[in-house]
Amino acid sequence: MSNPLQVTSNPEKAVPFTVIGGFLGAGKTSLINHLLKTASQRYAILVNDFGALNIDEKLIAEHNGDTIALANGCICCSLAAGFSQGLGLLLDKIEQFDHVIIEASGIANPKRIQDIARIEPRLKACGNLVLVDASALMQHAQDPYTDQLIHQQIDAADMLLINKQSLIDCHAKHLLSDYLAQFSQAPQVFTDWGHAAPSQVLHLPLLNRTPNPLLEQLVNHGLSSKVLKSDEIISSHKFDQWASQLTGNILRGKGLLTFSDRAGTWLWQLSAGQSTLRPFSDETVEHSYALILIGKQKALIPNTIEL
Amino acid sequence: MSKTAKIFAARKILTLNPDYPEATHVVIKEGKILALGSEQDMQSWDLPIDHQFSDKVLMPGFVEAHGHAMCGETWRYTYLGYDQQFDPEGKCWPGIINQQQAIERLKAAELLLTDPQTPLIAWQYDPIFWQDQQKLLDRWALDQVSATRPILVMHASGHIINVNSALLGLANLNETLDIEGLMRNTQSQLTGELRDLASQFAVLRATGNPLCGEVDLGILEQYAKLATNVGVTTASELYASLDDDSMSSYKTVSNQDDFPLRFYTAQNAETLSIEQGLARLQDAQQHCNDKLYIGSCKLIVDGSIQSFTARLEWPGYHNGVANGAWKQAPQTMRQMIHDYHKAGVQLHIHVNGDQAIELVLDILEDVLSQYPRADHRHTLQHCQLASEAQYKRIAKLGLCVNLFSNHLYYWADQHKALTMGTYRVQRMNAAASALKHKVPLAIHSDAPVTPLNPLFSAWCAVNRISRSGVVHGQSQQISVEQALHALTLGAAYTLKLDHLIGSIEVGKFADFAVLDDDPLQVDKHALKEINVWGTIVSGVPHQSACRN
Ligand SMILES: [Zn+2]
Repeated sequence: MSNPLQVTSNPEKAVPFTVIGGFLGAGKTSLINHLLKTASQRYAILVNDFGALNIDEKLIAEHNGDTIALANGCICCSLAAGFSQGLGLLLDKIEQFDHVIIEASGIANPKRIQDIARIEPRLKACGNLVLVDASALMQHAQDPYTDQLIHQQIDAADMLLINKQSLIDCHAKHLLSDYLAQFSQAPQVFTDWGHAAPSQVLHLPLLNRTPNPLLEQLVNHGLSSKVLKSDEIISSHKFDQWASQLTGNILRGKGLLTFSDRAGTWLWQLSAGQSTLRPFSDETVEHSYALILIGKQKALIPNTIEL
Repeated sequence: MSKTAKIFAARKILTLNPDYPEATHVVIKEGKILALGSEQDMQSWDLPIDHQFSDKVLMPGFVEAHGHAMCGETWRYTYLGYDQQFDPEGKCWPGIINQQQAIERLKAAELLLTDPQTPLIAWQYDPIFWQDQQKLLDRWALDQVSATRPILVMHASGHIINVNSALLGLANLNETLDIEGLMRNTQSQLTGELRDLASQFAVLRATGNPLCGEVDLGILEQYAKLATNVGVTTASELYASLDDDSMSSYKTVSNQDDFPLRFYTAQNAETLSIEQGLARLQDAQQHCNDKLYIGSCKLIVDGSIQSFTARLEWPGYHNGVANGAWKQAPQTMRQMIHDYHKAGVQLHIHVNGDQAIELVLDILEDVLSQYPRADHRHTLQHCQLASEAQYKRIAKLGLCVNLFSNHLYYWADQHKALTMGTYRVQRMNAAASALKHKVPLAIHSDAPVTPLNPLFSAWCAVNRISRSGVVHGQSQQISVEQALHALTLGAAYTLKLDHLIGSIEVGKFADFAVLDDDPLQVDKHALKEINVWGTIVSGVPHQSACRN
C-alpha cells in the first residue's frame, strides 16, 4: 500500500492553508471570486457547502462535474463526495498549488478545519478569515436558532472581515465593532463586496486563544444583548449613578456618550463588574449616547438610561 | 421470481389485511399474490401445493424503512459492540464487555491479515457500558495487538475514534500538537482517542476512508443477507449517493432475478445543489424496477440525542450541556424543503430534538400552504422527542413519522440519567401518541446504528424495556398488532410502496417473512425470541443463515 502520508515533506515547501468562514450571506463567495479575479497564484479552492460552486463564469476554463478548472491554473471543487475524500484527493496533488483555500459551510466552525493544516506537514496553517455581514450580524447573533454557531465562528477568527459596511451608519459600525470585540481579539477590517487584498487576508498570524468566559456563558446558557440609543443629553453624574447600579445580569457593556456637563465624547466600558469612562474624542457624536449591553436575561437588561 | 404458479401452505398466514386477517394457504403467480384462503378454498385452483412451510407462520415481509447499506460493510471489520450480534453468515459475535476480551478479539482478527500494511479496523466499540473504566482501548491496549500495523477503532456513537501508536505516527499525530479533540492523559500523553474532525480526517485518510458510506456490490449483497436473516424483504438506504458507481451496483443486484431484497433509496441531498440533486434523481429514476425504488430525498436537520447534538427546546439537556448543532443553517433547510417540495419530491427529514421538529413544522406549514400537495407523505425520521402539541401539528400537516424505538432498549437508561431526565424519557419515541393522532407510523433500526431486526424493534415499541430491565413510559407502549403493522404496512406507507408490499393482499408482491411462531400468540416479552426461518421474495424462498 503506498501511503501519501508517509512522504517526508520539506516544511519550507508546505502549502499555505486558509479557511474562510462566516454565516450565510456574509459574502464568502464574493470574496473568493474577488481573490480569483486578482489571482497571481494557483489556488485550490474547496467549497464545503452543498452546491455553493458559484464561481464567476468569466474565470472558468473548464467545468467538469464537481470540479471547475480556472483560467489562471486554479481549481475549485465542491466536496460533494464528502469532506474527507475531497480534501484527500486535493492533498494527493498538493504540489500543483500555491495556496489552499477552504470555503467553510455557513454553519461550520473554521477552527476545526484549520486544525487539519496544523497536523498535515505539507500544509501550513495561515489562519481563519471569518466574514461578517455588517447588516445582519446583530440579528443572527440574537436568534436562538443561530446564536451559538455565529459566536463560535467569531471566536474562531484570526481576522474578522466585516462585509457590507456601507449598509450601516457610523454608529452602528462602532456598536458592531464593540460587540465583536467582546468575543474576539481578532483584527477587524471593514469592507464592501468582499473586496480584500490577498496579502491582507490570506497570511494571517494565528491568534493565541484563551478561553472566553462570555462565549462559554453563551454556548451553555445563552446570552442577550440590547442596543441603547438616544438623543436625550444626560449628565455624567446621572450616567455614573445608572452605571453603578447595573446588576450582575449585565456581563459586558460598551459605547460612546456625550454629556451635558462635560465636553467631547466619552468611551464607556463595563467588564467584570468594573465601570470605566475615558475621553474618546473632542468631537461630539450624532446621538447623545449609543451603548451595547450584554446580559444573561433579556428582560432584565434596561432599555434606556433611566434610574 | 418463481416461474410457475403454486400454492404455499402454512400453519398460519397473518395478512395484516383487515378484510382477510388470517389464512393458511396463499396462491402465487408471476411473483405476486393471486389468492389466499383455507385449504378448502384451494380446491378451485389446479396448482401444486408446496408444504415446506406447513409448520411455519407467514407474515408480510418486513420493511426496514430507515436503514443503511453500510450495515453490510461493517462486517468486513471486527465487531466490538457490547451486545451480541449475528453477522450475515449467521455467526454469533458475543458482546465485548472489557478490555481483555477486546484485545483477544482484535488479536484473532489481526492474525487473519496477511499484508502487514493493511489496517485493522473495528467498529461499534461502546465503552460507556464497561465496568472497569480504567482499562479502555487506549493506544497502549491497542499496541498490545500490534505495534506496527495501523489499528483504528470506531465508537458505537460514530463520533469518536481510537487508534494505536502506529496509526498515530502514520497520521502525523504527536505530542507537540495542540489540537482540540486530540485526547491526553494526566501526564499529557496522547491516549489515541480522537474526538474532532481534523485528527479523525488524518487517521481515516491514512487507512483508506473505511465506512464512509459508499456502496458496492459486496455491500449490497451482505445487506441482503442480513435482511433475509431477520425476515426483511424490502430495505432502504436512507442516505444514498446516486453517483454512477453506486447506481451501477444498485442496477446489477436489482436486475438479478433471484436477489432476495427490494431496495428503496432516499438520496442524500446534503452534498448536492438542489439543481444537481433534482437532475441526479431524474436520471436515477429511469433505472427503477420491481426491486429498486428511487425518487425521494433525505434531509438532516440536527444531530443525535446520545451525542448531545440534537437541537432541544427549553430546558435543554438534562445534564446542562450546550444545545446541539444544526446540520444545515435553518435558512438553508427552509430553502431545501421549499425547493424539493415544489419540485414534487417526497422528503425524509431527520429530526431528533424537539427544536429541530419545531423548525421543520414551521417550515412545512409555510411551504404546504403555499404549495399544497395531495398525499406528499413527507416523513419525520427518528422524531424521538415530539411533544403532544407537535404530534397534533404533524397530523394536521399530513406528515408521517418513522420512530427509532430501538433507542428505548439501548440508551433509555443513559437518556434518563444524562440527556433527558426521568420525565422526558417517558415519551421518547411516542408511538402511542402517533397512533392517537392518526399519524402514519413506521419504526426503524437505523442499521448499522442498531442491528437490523424488525421483531426486536417491535419488541422495543411494545415493551419499552431498557437494557437494565426498566420500563420507560408505559403510556407510550403499543400493541403487538400495532407494532407489526408499523414494521410492514406502516413502513411501506412512508415509502409510498404500500400498494405493492406490506400486507398479504391479492395483487401485491409475494413477499413474506417466514417465522417459527405466531407473534400474536407468544408472550409479548418473547417477541424478539421468535426464530426467523427466512423470507420469500417474489415467491422464491430464501433461508436465513444458520445461527451459530
Ligand atoms: Zn439514518
